Amino acid sequence: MLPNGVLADTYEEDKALIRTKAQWGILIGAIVFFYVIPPSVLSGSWISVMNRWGITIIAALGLQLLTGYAGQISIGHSAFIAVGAYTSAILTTRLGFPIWASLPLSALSAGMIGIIFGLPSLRVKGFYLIMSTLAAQFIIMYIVTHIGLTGVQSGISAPRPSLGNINFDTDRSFYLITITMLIICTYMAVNISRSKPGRAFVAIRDNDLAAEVMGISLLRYKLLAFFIGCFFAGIAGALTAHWIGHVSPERFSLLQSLWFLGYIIVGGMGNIAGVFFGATLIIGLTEWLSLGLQNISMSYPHAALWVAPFVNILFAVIIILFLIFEPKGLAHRWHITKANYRLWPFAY
Amino acid sequence: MSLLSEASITGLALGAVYGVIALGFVLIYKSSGVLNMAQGSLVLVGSFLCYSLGVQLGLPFPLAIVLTLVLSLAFGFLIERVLLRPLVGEEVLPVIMVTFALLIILENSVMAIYGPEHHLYPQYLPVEPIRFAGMTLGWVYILALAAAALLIPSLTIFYKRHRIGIAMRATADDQQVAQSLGIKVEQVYGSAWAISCLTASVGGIVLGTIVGVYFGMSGIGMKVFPALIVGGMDSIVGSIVGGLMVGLLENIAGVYLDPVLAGIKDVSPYIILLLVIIFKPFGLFGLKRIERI
Repeated sequence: MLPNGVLADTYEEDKALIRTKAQWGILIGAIVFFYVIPPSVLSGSWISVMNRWGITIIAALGLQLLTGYAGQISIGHSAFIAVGAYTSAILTTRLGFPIWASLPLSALSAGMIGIIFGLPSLRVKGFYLIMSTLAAQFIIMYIVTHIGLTGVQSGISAPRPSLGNINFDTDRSFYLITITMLIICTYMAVNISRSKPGRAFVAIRDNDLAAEVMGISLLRYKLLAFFIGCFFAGIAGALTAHWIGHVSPERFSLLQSLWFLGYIIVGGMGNIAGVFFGATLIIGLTEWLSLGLQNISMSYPHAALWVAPFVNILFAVIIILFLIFEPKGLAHRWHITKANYRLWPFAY
Repeated sequence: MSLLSEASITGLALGAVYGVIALGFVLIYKSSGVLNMAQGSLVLVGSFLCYSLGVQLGLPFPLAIVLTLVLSLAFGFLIERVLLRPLVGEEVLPVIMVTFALLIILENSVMAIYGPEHHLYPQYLPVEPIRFAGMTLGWVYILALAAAALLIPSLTIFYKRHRIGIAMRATADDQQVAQSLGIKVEQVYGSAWAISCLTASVGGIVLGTIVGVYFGMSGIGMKVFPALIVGGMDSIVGSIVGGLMVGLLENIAGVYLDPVLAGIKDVSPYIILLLVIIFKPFGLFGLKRIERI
């Protein structure tokens, strides 16, 4: 909903993503804020959290388009991230590609693998599709851990990126790449969601038979949804590889895939902004808990063993509470707040 | 004894365990339409509970088994009441995510309480294996097959004859009509979860006897899903047949393909799952659903 008094005289104005001067101000302010403030203010461990936050959102945007918009539930998302990560690491380390070429190539390869595992979606949906993405998770991770090219269990190293004379070899400098990619990917996701494919995805999600009757090609758009969702996952995977400098299989477990579904559920299904809300809330709370437990473990060493289980339990409890009490997610709350602000002092 | 027959026997026993676990899933799905992704972790909880009672508390082992089964019945009622009741009538994804969250909570609680070590039950079965028609059979495999052979007919009869079983079938058919005929739907859902937890615990105890009690059992518990898909999701017979087939194929793949492709044994159920979904989505005994707009 737009603020009062905002009218469009031309189609171009009506189609524009940013409609008012205030929106432009907030957008530019936010971009400047995210480029300047975190690298100069945050301490070492929190800047690493910011990198994880940015990369997570990129991957979750893909899952939002695939699951939230197109309704194709995937619980194998972290396997597709693994495809991107390993492709980029193999291309740069073993074949000597520059990182800037391997990034799009790894995204493309993840998208292609996504199409292959999306093929069952043409025949089945719901639980059966979930099962085929579960199979994708295990089969992809089996292949990844059993071919020599990937360094099997010990993993493979990936170089840190550089541009001319600038080396992005610290968390602080890599953050600039993360945030740039995050902005590009968000722009892409927002525009995909409001263009023809995005509308087709929503139609398929709401009723795929009706969508087909209306002339939407299920073959094309379901596979496109898988391609786009896994393309984002591939970007996130390549970024993870070059951020950490090393790719190993335990990073891409089934549990991680569930975390990605959690981000979009807590944020709100079928909403790009929801990805940001969900990831920020969950990553913030779980990082806070794990920092707290690490502090306790200084005096009580046994607590260090509890960090991983407790963080996972906290995550699961957040999911349950949201599903029971706010199934539409944080984005829904945000829309209500925004509408109230714009209409005030009137009720509607 | 030949390699093939040995692999087949162990595979069938493992498959019987898969089948017993899958049975619980089918019961919940048939009566309430809920897809319980936490079935594998209920197995984990059952086996660790039995370990706690029988070893850590030092109760006599048969008593520990009985107590475990009783407690898991109560646990099933509790899960339904707390987690699933608020989500009645929701779509597929929220319900599945709640059961996934349950899986995460259960697995991580087990991890936090018991740690990653490998535990063993006391030796409660006879050590001396049975020799039958030239084959040597461990008692654990007999136990596994016996558990399946006991549970399937009794649950089938319960489903066909008992008052709650009939109410379950009515609810599965049409929830609203069942409710208007005076069936307590909540009670039906609760009993479905309780029985499902019970079968999961039976599976857990048998599995714990075969491979020992350890955290990796949750990975074994995940393999009920290939069994379910092969057999068809809404068929009791299908869950057992699917379990046996997946266990058999997994072990035969382990014997013949592992030398060529290391580690293929653990991933082979999922390859089977994918093939079945592509070529015969509703499995062997599943009900084919026709959709209308």
